[in-house]
Amino acid sequence: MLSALIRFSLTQRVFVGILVLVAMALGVRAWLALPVDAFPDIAPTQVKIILKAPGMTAEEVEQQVTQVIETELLGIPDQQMLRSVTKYAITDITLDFRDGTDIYWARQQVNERLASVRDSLPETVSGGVAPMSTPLSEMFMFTVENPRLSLMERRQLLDWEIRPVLRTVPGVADVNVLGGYARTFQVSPRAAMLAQAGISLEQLEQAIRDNNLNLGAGRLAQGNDTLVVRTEGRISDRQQLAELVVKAEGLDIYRLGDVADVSIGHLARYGAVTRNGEETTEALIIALKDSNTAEVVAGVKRKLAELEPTLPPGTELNVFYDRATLIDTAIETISSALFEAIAIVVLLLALFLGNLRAAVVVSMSLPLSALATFYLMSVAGLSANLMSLGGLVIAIGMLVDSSVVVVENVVTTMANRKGLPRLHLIYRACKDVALPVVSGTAIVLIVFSPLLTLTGLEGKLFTPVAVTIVFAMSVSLLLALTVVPIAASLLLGGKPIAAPTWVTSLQRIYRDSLEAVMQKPRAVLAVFAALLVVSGVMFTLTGKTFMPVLDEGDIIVQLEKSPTISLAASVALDRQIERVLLERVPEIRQLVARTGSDEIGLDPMGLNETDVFMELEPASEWRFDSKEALIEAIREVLQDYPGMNIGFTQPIQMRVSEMLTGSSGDLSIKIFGSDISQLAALADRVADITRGVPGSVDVQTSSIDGGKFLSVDVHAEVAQRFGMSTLAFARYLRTQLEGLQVSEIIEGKKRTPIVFATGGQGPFAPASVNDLRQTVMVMPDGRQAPLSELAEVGYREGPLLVERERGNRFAVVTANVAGRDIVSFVEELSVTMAEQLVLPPGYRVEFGGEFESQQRATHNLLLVIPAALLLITIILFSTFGSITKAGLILGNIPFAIMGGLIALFITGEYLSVPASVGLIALLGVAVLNGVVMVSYFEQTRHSVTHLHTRIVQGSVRRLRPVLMTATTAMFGLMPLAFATGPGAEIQKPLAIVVIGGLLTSTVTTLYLLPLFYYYMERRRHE
Amino acid sequence: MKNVALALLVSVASVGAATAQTLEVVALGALELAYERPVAVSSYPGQPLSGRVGFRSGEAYSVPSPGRVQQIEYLVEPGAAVSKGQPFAVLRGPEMHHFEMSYHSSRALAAGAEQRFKSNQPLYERKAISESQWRQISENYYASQLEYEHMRHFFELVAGDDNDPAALTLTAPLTGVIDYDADGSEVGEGDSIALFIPRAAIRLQVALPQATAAAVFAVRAGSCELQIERVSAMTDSFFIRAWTQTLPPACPLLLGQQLLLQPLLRVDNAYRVARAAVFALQRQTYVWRLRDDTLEAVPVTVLAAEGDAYIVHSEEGLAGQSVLVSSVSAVQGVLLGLGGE
Repeated sequence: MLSALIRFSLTQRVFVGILVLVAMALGVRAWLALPVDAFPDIAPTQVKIILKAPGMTAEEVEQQVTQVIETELLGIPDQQMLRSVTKYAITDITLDFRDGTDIYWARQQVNERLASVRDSLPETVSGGVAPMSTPLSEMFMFTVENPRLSLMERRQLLDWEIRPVLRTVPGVADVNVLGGYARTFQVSPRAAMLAQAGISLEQLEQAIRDNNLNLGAGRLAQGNDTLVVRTEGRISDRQQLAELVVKAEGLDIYRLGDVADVSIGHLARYGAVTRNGEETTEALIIALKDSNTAEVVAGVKRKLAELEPTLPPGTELNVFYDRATLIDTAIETISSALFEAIAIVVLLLALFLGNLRAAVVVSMSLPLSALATFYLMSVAGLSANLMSLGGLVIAIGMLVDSSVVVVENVVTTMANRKGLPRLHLIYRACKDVALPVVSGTAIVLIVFSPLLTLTGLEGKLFTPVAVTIVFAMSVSLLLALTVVPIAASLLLGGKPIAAPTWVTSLQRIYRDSLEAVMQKPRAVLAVFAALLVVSGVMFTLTGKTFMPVLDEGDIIVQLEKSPTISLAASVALDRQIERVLLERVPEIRQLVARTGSDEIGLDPMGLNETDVFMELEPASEWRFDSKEALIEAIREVLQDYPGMNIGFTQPIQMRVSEMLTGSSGDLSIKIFGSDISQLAALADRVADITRGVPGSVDVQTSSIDGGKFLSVDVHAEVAQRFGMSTLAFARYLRTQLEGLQVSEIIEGKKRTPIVFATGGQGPFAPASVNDLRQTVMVMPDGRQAPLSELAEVGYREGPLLVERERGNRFAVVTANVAGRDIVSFVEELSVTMAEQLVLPPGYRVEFGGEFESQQRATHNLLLVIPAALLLITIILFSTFGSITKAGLILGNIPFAIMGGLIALFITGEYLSVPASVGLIALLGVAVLNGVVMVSYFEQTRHSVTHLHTRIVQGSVRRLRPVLMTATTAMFGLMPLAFATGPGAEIQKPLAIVVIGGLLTSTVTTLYLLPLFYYYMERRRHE
Repeated sequence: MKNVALALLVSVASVGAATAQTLEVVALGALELAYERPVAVSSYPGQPLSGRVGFRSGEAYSVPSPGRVQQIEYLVEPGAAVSKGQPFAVLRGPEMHHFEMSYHSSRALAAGAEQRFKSNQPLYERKAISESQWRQISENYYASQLEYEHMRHFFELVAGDDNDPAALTLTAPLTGVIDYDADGSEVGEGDSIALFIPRAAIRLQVALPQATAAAVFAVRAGSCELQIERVSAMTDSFFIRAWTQTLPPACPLLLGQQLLLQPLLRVDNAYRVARAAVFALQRQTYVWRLRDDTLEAVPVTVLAAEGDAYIVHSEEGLAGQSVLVSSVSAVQGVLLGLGGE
């Protein structure tokens, strides 16, 4: 079949040429249309439910909402994880589904289950399934600045001018608006007036609801026409609202303004945003899952540019986070690595082949493979990102291997055999190497197959790498057997191509050294054995971690303050911190801090939690060489501000951590149990122990206990005498504190809620417990009574926060690890905890976060790599028909891994998932070189009978292809190894491992493999 | 944080039921620490109450009608100020003529009865007439006098220059504020035609919650601050009725006006401190008091809010002392063990 393919290509050159042109066109089109992102979509199929339960404590929400829903959701098939975070007035339930689950099916399932329990939830509960986004969907953020506009006006601008426009951009799931004041029409009932008029709060509410309406009454036929009849009562402004008649009795007409103060107020604030120490408003664009991030960002920018001239004069949209910047820099990093790799590889080919035409023939496979890979990526739905393009860079060196072998053989054949037609010579040359080329490529493809079995984050990250490599290698193989022979026939002249002088010299030197090694092998064997041992020691000394931290360019500082802090106090502290950071850290261009919860509830932070987003000046202007040093400087500044927990993260890193574990930090230690107080105490103890382990930084315990509530216990026997139920009581109280939305006013495109509230301001708003007790309430029958006579007001304590996984409560301690690897850290921590921590019955500890992912990845790879090795063995066996020879080639693997480990140790990199992927890649290249060498020994078995001569001649003959494949792979990865831009961190360990491994495996292929082959064959001969 | 754990000195000492806690200022790093001096106050504003402008029973002068009146034309509006002798209403109808006749006949009857009484008195003293006859003469005499006095009092208010026999013009018996039922209901015999309330009798009627009634010494109505003068000894549901002093001329309140009042409660050991100074720990609220280089948590009870300040009660004297008003939550966080890495 391979012969037929080569023959067809050589005989139908025009046809194949047209096919190539079509493929190129498709490839170019695919490249232009490929979704571009910094990362692959690493989110699992995830459905989030966000429910707001105003006024309910965390424990109440857990009991009455979270538990009810979780019980229902647990039955949904294909779910992997069910976790929830319940706080005051909100619950956030997240369901992770198995990879590959259709998101729309998953959402439908969740919606159905949610609908079935709706009736059993408290009536005040609102919300539902969150927008179809992923934790990485927050890709564009800006603040609205205009000194002439108040915070409320800026908020209005965002809510009603900017947000609706941005939501029309394709791919935008939602626009989260934060900070400022959400405008309301505030109706503050005057108890005395209500009592005098004999109007209860319910009647007032009902009057507003019933009168703020436009209703259709039907049609009136008038002659030949029909007129639509409407009843119009909808209120359009504050004046009309104040004049609304709420009661008419005889001549007494009571208007809303008579019994209540009607003013402009704002909704109760659950969060705030500050920029450089001043309050502001912020918009956060959330992209739809699977959308093209680059396109969405571009669309958002286009819309904002259209909007900006229409905004009030002086309005500035201050963009402080733009994912496109990260995408651009990441793609630039990887693209330049790609182009540099191509240039290096072409140069190497020209050097080795000593003929520009031959080099061009081989190099042709690079752009063609890349374009075809882009096309296949678009078919497979892959985006162009750090990982997928990284896969292409990794493959560059290997892409030419097949073509090198083919061209090299064509050149040699044409040089040695004269007299036959050129096309026939090329056909013969290609046919001779077709099988080893296919076997070699198959081996590489099999080697990368374990990556396809990775799950979780590592799977999401490295599957695109593997898939891209598989695509590129498959295409390069096809090109090597079709296009390369055609190009050789067209470009390589009839003149024989002699090897370059430096290659001949190198062959001579190699011959002499190989002879020497074969004469006295013990010293060389001892050296390699020693190196093996040394590399083993280095392996134990090398740190192990899950994934290198990707530099996103920005920094987020997370602050956690006293759990009962008010928004005003929290913002005041933020402003203090911001001012000092701007003053003392000139590397910070601007700071935007978000305190408390967002509007949608996707990230329900407490009032005591702040994410300070830092936009940095270009690194060239820093006082420091590295971001780590800058972080250390910021940490030093913040350490002067006690009373707050401080953590460092980055925008994507934070969301990825939260996605993986529900919390941020390299390591999360979860303590499962039932009693919140006990969990809180254990978490504190675990945090103390963790702080004692060297390498721990940013150790934080989420404050789950110590929630302080004012409990208002209604004296039902008294309240009922006035017709006041507990519900009515609670609603009344809500009007005094948070506010109660009763209707809304539509002014053009603005919809402004009408809220019963005191706004927490003004002379009559309760501002203390004592005030609350003294509040005089109007009863449904119009009489009045002081609250203290109707209810008992007292303090109660309870959980601030309840976190659950699969229905079990837990407390979490998070930590970052600095200066050492996470695995050894966890090992030490486990030992210390076993010694110092006593867990009550029913309580257990689990380690999560990156550590969990690292363990899972290791486990997966340890299961799959042996299977891949078995497959390689089978291929080798079927190629050489000998298990011994297969074993001989496989024997090269430890030496390859040896080089990889030594390189890791020397460069100070940790053994991480990317490094492991590099080791896997090494298996293929090491085996491939062995195949090239041994297959030639076998081919010349009959033409050269003397064993020693055959081996030496064969080795020298194969020196050039072996060196070419090794150096192209090694130098092709050099740009990645030395890249410094964002994204380089992930690929760097991989490149280092492969380069190191290729170095040692090439030496062993050139010296040890012939030696061992010699021993093996000599024994057979004897 | 560098050695914060060492620098942080938290001492716990029992002070009554509360727990006093101290922190050395040096342990607070670069936190902005601003202080203010609490001001002692003797009262604080309570939650709003409803009140009504009125008068106490017996402080108004009522003009009763001598008979059924078909038509009354009031010359002044209810609530208007009137002077003594100022015409305030014209009674019209044929019965006005009857009123005059009744007045004259009652005067004649009273005169006759008086003469009869006087002439029979010596006879009775001499036992010339029986006990029962004398009693009848006496009763008749006093009844006719009473009847006449009623009429006379009424007709004293009638303006003398009325020429229309079917109309009587009434004048105000005193200077004050007039009040009458303006809904046009019929006035019968003995019904009040109008009430006249002297200015000095107009005051606020307040419903004080039982729990705080004893402490309320004044109420604020807009710009007026009125002292509580009388407090009822009885309750009406949860409230006790109280009366303020009479309204000074500077208080432009209308009789019958319903309004929201802010009570002022008397309190000892109370201070006005910035809201930002108060924090909670466990079930107690505190402020940080600076003493030398140490912050001391002083238990306080928040009584009320006044603008950006709280009125707090504290058993420990805070007047003139420095109380922390910035970064209070961070200091609270230090107590809770936050930060300090």
